[in-house]
Amino acid sequence: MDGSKTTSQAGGTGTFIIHVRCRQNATWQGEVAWAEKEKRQHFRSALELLKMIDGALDEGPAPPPGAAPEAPQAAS
Amino acid sequence: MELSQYNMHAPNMVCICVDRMAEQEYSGEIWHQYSSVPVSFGTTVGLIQELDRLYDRWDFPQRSTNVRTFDPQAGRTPAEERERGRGQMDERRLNDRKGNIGTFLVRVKYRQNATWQGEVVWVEKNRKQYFRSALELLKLIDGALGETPDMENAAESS
Repeated sequence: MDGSKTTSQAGGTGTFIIHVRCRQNATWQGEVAWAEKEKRQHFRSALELLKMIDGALDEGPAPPPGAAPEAPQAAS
Repeated sequence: MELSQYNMHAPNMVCICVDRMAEQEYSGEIWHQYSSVPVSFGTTVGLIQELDRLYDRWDFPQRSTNVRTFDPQAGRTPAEERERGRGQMDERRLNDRKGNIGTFLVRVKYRQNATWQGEVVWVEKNRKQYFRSALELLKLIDGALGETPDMENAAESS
């Protein structure tokens, strides 16, 4: 299995690499990495994963290096 | 639909009225006992988020785990918002609610393992099922609405 093809893709608003390590309690547990911010976090359920991704997308993308800070975006 | 016929009573019981399915996304309304105005949802993910927001506002059931985020400062429900959630409770607000393609009464009894556990009634078929996670609840609703017919018994198979 070649993982490089998976990790080289990027989404339009945010890119998350999800590793589901186990499926207990009728849900998923594992790790999620937020590619643009280079942050990782463990999750204990699919619900928690969803909320983490949603929170990350609300925060917005990191500005490119050297750019002026963006004005805050209105909450959707 | 009279709520009393299901013998399910809980302060946090909600009625999910699914009105539309478009591009694999559900939309509709969530009726609860503290307002005569429903909470709308436009996507399947939105349904889960709105429900979780309601449970946080009511602080019922209480969380057994804090919400993890990428940002350690985010994800907490302010005390003021929890207060705002306490309107006058009237179970009759759930009576006679019907979604165009499906209606579900959901009672979340516990919030353990960073997810939900409880029971759901598919109103049109008068069938009750227990769920051990929000994911399982979604699969049950999905199966009931016919998108994945072999998932109707998801609670038993997983």
